[in-house]
Amino acid sequence: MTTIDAYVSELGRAVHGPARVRRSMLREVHDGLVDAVEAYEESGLDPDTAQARAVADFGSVAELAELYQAELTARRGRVTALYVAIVFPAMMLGWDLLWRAGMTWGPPPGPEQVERVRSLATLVDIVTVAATGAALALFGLTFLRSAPPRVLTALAGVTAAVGALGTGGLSVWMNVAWMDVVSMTVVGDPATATADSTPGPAMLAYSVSGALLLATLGVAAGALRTAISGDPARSRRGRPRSAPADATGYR
Amino acid sequence: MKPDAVRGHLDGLILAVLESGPLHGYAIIEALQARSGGALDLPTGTVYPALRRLERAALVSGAWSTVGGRQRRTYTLTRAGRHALARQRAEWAEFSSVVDAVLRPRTIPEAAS
Repeated sequence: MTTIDAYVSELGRAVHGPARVRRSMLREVHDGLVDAVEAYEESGLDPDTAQARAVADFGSVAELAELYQAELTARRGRVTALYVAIVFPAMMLGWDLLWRAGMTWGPPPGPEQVERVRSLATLVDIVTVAATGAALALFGLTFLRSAPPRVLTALAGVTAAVGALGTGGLSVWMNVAWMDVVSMTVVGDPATATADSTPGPAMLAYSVSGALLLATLGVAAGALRTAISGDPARSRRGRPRSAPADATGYR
Repeated sequence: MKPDAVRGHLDGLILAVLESGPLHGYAIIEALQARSGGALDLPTGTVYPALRRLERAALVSGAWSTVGGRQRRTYTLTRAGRHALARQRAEWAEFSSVVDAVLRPRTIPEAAS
């Protein structure tokens, strides 16, 4: 393993974030070091000295990891915010279409339940719109160089988690409130099912929504993990604090 | 020049270097050193995250392409990047003229009246 390879893998171990961006960054660092080595070799240095010189010019991993981590954390926040801003409105739209087509529900069991389900459905919409709005705002903020990446990413993770738990929880409640009809549409008992309660789309919609909400919780966990473990004090893993405190604060 | 003094201005310096055309990371480092007459002394490793930060802010766009038979990530100044550079120039001109006016030794006593 060359000095350069060793350096790049050390940097790789010190940072984490979205795999594609991380790979691209490390590859770019590797290429840049190869360029620097070639330049030193052309000026007459032997390969070993050229590599040592290029790595020394580059700066120590302890000093740089924080800067690379800040960008990876910001990317994680942007991806998370974008995910929420797409998935939540899409789910709302999907359910809206199903409801309008009258495909998920059978005949209303009674005016009382209809009222309860309707207000719960409104609450789901409110949570969805709030999560989407927050996500769009956070997405916009990731374009500001001065915005603190860890805060943005933590907030994006919280938005995703609250959105998923909120809409998921309210939906379960809503289904309990209309239990008879739901069990009918899900089971699709031909003896009781009516013409407008097709079990197929309802089952599909439940599975897709459940899967999306679980995926959202996964995305939220990833964002929160990056935001928390992106803590510079941790990513340096006990190495002496050689980077200046404001190293992430370029504007 | 000390790395700390350069740090807050690195983004602007990179934008300035990219003004004349797209460059890849190492060429940007070389251009920074050449244009500063070798006086810029900062860890070259700080340039890459700065490029990613500028890219995140949509001031430059980065893309992998083949240059000189090798895959390299090349950065191009965007329209927003040009505006940011112009703004940074104006701010710097104002800042430096103010600091210069205050720091300049008062050699002519009459001027102080």
